[in-house]
Amino acid sequence: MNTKEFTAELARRIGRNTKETTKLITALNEEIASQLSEQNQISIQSFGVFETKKKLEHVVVNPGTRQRMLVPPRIEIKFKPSALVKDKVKEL
Amino acid sequence: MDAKILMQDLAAGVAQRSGLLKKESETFVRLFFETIEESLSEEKNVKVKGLGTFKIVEVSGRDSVNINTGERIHIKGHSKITFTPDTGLRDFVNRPFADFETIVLNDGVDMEKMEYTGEPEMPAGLSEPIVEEQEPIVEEPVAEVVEAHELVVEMPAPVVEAPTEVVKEPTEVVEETPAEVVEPVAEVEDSAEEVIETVAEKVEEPVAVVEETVTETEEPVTEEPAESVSEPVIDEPSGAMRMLKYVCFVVVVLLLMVGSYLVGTSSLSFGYFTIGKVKPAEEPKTEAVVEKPVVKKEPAKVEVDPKVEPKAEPFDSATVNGRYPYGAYEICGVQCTHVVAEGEDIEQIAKQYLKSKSNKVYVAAMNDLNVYRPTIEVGQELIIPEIRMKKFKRK
Repeated sequence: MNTKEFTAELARRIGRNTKETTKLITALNEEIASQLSEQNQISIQSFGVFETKKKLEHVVVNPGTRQRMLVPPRIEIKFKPSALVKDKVKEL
Repeated sequence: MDAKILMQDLAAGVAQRSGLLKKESETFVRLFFETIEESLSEEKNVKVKGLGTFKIVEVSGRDSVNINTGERIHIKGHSKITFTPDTGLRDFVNRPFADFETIVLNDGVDMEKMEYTGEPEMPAGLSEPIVEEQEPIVEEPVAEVVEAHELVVEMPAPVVEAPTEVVKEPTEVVEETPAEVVEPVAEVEDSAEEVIETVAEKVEEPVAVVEETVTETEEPVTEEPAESVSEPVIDEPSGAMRMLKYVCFVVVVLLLMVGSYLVGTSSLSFGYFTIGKVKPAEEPKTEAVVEKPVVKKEPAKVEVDPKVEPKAEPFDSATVNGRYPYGAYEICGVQCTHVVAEGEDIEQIAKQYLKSKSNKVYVAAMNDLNVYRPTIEVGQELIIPEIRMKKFKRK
């Protein structure tokens, strides 16, 4: 399912047109981004947890060429589904 | 920082951004995630622009062992949700580290060594400060010498190249600069005396620079030798001697620059550079300066040579026995010497002569090598020890 289909589906559920829905989705994404960039943990009860993890710099080796590379430190976004969703998905 | 944001807080933020009522935005956020969840169970793949992609991935079953009972159990295959953040979101969150890039490490770079010396800087950062420090000195003589004589223009050129090598190995500079500077000196001796006049000026200027760097790094000892050199240079009647002294001075200045930079990072190298610095001040022969650092640069080789000699003499077991106190064997003599061939390592050599590759420790002890990082080269002679079982005293 791509963004267009998702927006249409969401628009149908909240009873608004797609244009408004797209605006709302952008607003929500902006909010999520700003919260995550402040290292905050976003916990959605029935869905899961979005959080950031700091990764230190480290050396990796390309197994094909045996070339070593120094990967810089970075902040990664992790998503952990809630136990409820996890169990639901498990049987699929 | 590290706060826990709930759906309500998120909804409040959305309300603020979109001008929606708080209640409405709350239902919107709830429905947003509900829709993702429900479409996921239908379609296995939900892509939301600006947030990322949710996917259902199948995990195949595997065998495992119950850690408590030791029982073999089978974990059934199942599916799980993965989330890949959108590149825009990922980069936005990673802003603080956006400037960093993955660096390809060359073969020569030893990361273990870097951690060992406790060097806090990255290799790229190391290069900048030194180059900046060197520049003022190198450029000044260039400008003046151009006025004086064309021949001399060639002289500073090698000096300019040398500092770039300082970055990797300070010892290389010591080796190269004197050697290359000496050549132009011969040319200058033949040519005009005008140069010598400007030399006198030049000599004073580096002194000033040296003193600056000295005070910066708080190294009081170096001031005295630097000044004492400058005075005799000006009084000296012979032009050739002046040039020699000037050359020495360039070497001293270079050594000081490198030395003062390294003061903070390693006390050992500081000691080494002060030795190099005092020498030329006392006896102004460039040859002496060249030899000293070279010897220091390859201590491993120098130590190997005297070790080969005792091979001819009767074996002194007392001195060698103490070298490797652990293990079941003790070193009781010299078997032979082995010339390292291409592709051989210390383990293979140990296996060849001492039956087991783990006996490399005795080879390493005999040749003063580091067991874990033995630096052996093709053509190097290794002394292979004779070993015997230790006699254990029984009570």
